[in-house]
Amino acid sequence: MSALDISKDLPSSSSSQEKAILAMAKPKLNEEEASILPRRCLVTIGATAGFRSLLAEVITPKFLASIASKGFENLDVQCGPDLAWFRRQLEEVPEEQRYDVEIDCFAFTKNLTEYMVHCRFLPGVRDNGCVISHAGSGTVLEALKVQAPLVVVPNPTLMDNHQAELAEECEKQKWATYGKLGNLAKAVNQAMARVEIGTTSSAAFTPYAPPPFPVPEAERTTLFDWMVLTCYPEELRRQQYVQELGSAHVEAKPKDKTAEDLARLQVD
Amino acid sequence: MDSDKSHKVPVPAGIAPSRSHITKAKEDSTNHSITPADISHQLTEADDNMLEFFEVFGEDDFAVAFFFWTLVIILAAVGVVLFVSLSWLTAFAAVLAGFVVFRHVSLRRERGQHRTGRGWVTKPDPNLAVPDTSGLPAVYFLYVLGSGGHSAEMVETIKQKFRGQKNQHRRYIITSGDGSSLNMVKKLEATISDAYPDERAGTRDVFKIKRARAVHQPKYTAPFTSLLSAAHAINALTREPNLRPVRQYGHQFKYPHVIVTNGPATGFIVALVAHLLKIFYLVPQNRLKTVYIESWARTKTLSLTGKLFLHAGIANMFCVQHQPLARAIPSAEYVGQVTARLTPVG
Repeated sequence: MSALDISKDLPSSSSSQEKAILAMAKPKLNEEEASILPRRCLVTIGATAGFRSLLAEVITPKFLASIASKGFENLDVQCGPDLAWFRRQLEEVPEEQRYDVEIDCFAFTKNLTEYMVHCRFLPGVRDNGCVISHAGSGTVLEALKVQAPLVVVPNPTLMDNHQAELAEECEKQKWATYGKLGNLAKAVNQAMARVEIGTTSSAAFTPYAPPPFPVPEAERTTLFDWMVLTCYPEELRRQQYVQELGSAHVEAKPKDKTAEDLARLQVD
Repeated sequence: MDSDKSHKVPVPAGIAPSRSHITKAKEDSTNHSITPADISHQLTEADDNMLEFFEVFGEDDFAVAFFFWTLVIILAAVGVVLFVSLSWLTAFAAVLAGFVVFRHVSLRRERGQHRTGRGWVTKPDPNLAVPDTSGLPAVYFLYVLGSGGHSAEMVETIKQKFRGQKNQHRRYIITSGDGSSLNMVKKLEATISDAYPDERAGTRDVFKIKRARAVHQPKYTAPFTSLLSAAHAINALTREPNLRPVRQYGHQFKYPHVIVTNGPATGFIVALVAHLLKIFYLVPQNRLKTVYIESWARTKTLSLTGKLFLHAGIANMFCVQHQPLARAIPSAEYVGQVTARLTPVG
């Protein structure tokens, strides 16, 4: 029975393997430790355009009831230009239809990252929450960097619906869950389930650590440095030669030998 | 006027008087780089040290010269049309067009020499000492920031490529009234100076250029404001950084080496101006290399700016970040996700 319950929440597209793992994970969800800690949800629509259909959906009784049953206690809503409109809508939602979810709204914030971090697991303080975002690249990048569980909802009113492309890619690469308007509660459940079983890039149960800066030399993007070198053709030729020699050595010989050779070459 | 509308945050009462003299002094200044008047709207007390961030470029000689010569050329053209016979006119136009096309084609051909794609993106082996730009006399990047997502992506790209070295200068181009990009740049610069408190952080300045078209601006005026922003772009491309004075560094920092843009319309204008400057030999040929990186959000189709860049062929390197898009556009370099390093699933 329990397997059936959960699989109803997932769209038909998800693999049977995922369902099977989920069925196994189900008992864990019911364990007390998982449900005691509160969860937080952040809804963000970016700074440029309004997105009323998303804002309207997150305060429907159906959605609030669904997230409340999952243990969400706070809902932060970044409304951008729609703040006044959202406040009016919110007033019309009666207290008993809010299911004890505390709803906070604001237009913009300078530290959205912090809000996103609050949607992440912190031992003894909170459980994994959820970020529901429009599929704008800035916000999505930010959320992926924080590795908070993420639901992306493309804004269909924008020019040729270009956000859908990114949302599809996110779903394909399993960075985030594609949320469709009208069925957001399901997407949130799915995102939560994916974090539990680890089929998404969101970190499940590790505290947040900001990405290192400067980036380690081995992972650094060197494309622009090469482009600078094209302004100095002689230097470019020399360094390209070094690179070719180096990569040939890497394939053939152990590394310390390569470094030695390169040092000699650079002295020359 | 523009800035009054866009920055709704009131200036804290304690700060306003201390800044007012700067505001007054700069009101009549003709330069278009960010004036303290704009900044005071955006800065809080904690950001006070950021004032040094905005270079006040002084008298704008280049813009004056530019407009003067444009006027001369327009008058000359009118004179030519009035007094010269049609056949001469046609011949002259044909020669000019031929020259432009020839230069354009030869610049494009030159661009083709450096197609090394992914081999250039990251190091095949971290022990390798290349590419090493720390020995060069100057390393000067120009980043064009757009709005919202474009700026966020650009900031990430810069973080992914940044390496501390003394000889680097960065110039950010932002459009007027774009407070959020400014905040992103400030945050990025704070991160950089935290990581490199010494000289290795390099120098930086911000150039503010006119938006090609403001949100509610009527369409028929757009060509004129585009021209204005092109004029500003010329200035941004040729104005020497104040922090790299000629007497100390010579003219090494006169022109940016690499222009990086990722999709805002301003980026296209800047790149087009750079290309035209090169066509007419107004700048050295081994400067102003344009790298266009298609927005990370574009996975299957090109954006409008991307199409413009591709068809105009003005970028020295045209990069896309996703494989499906790279398959659709064979002439583009597939560079992988340079905007962000995302943790792989599993």
